[in-house]
Amino acid sequence: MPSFDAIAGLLLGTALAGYLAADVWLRFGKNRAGHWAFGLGWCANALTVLVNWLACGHPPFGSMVHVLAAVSLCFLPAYLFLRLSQGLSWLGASFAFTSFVPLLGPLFMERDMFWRRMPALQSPWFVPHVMAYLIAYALATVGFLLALRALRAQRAAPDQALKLIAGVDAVARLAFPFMTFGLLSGALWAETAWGRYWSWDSKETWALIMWLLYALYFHCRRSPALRRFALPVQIAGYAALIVTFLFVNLIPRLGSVLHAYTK
Amino acid sequence: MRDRLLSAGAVATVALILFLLAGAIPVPGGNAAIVFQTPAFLAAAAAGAALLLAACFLRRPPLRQIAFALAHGGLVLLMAGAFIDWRGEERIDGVRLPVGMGHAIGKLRDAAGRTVDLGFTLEVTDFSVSFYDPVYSLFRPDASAPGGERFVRKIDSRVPATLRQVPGGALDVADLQDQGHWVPERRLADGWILRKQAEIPRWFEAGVRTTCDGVGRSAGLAVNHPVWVNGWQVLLVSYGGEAMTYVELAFKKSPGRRFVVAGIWCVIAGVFWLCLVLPLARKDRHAVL
Repeated sequence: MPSFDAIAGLLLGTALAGYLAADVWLRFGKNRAGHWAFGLGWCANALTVLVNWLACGHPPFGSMVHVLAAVSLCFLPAYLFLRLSQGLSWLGASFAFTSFVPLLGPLFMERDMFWRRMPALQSPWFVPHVMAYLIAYALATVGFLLALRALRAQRAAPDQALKLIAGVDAVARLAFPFMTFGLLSGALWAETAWGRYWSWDSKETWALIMWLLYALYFHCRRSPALRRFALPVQIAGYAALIVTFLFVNLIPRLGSVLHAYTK
Repeated sequence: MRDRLLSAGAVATVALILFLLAGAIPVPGGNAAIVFQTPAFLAAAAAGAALLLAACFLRRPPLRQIAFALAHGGLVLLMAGAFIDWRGEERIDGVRLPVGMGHAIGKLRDAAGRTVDLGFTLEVTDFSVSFYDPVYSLFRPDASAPGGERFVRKIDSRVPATLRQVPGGALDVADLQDQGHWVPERRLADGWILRKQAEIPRWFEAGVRTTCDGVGRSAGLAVNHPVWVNGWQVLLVSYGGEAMTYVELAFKKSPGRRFVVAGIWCVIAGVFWLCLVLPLARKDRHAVL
């Protein structure tokens, strides 16, 4: 009987292939094929998360492998929401590409399938807190790529830049409520677990920096005097997100004491 | 007026971000987070709160006004609660209580050495802990390594595939147990050895009995499940002793808690309303907030 690890590996490969094909087809205007490939990749991705869940017996957010697989799962639903509610179908290729990238990590990392969830993580806040952040991170990644493209297009193709900035706005508007919920539900959870809403732990501080930068983005967009700073602020916000999500856990000197649950 | 407020708000936000960066970047041998207790940081936070409050009074369409006030006023409420807690919170950490000895406490000594009367007594009646099946470390003999052995890999007792990877033949879970208990180490062929890693608790909880104003009450106390008595929040932090003979508790009284919790929910509601609900209800959905 194949092991959980082998099944997860196979599904990851299928999901990657689906997302990559979706990106290529959507970029070349083959929308029907692109959407089918996106859907296929997402289903394989969802099955990967399900296998991870079955293997460890808890919601699978215990290692970077678990988390990256779950992040990739957030893109398609977010894209469908933006497409259906705001008609932003041109974002499809960006969402397919950003679904593909996080899954490259689990392919090469050690897949510790049997994560043991410690008591502090056994809280009703665990899934909503983590999922809210994963949705926000996924959307912020798309926003970051669009912001980079918009910055590049501002001189050469102003019309294209305006369209891209509208995309950044739509994505940021969807990401920010989830980011806010992630940050503040973490405070509520910390109060019941440690008796403190806020401990100035490095992960908390970087999460607040990230949140303030995204809040600043909206304020810059709103003010004619500050509008030129909006895209750089969006990019700085994503840099803070990368520090919060990856560096705080990977670099010991930035290390978070209170958030050292995951490997 | 609106543009001036936005600009001032942006400046205050940038100032706060700079303070946060100063507190987040590690300094050699120092506690960088001390910056968050300086008068300059408090002044920047207060200026931010004043601007948030002022922004709430600018005129907007009614629904937007409510959402805006929730998001921005909620932040002010949260900051006010945090400030009240910073000034008035009582917290006593590291209280070790024996399990099942009938030892009730009603007065504690805080970090400053003052005696604090809780207004109730608390005793720990029982305690239980369960562990996950363990992970073992596989070592091979190596004269050049410190201690004469070198770590090879993890052997997870929950994963049959890893149990088949040990030298001298495949192991069974039963080979790692003795009378139902996981053995601390097991010697294998050719001097290889398996050592049990520190066990990870699956769950631990204590039973406590509190007496307040002559009324006794029994309750379960676990991580993420504090007990509230007489305005005090009692938290189970840890446990110890060779036979789990004591538990470590923390006691906290937080006068600003209601403001913080109310502020948090106001901000969440306001931001969802502003960012998700209002733009979808608007004809011009691509307009900025």
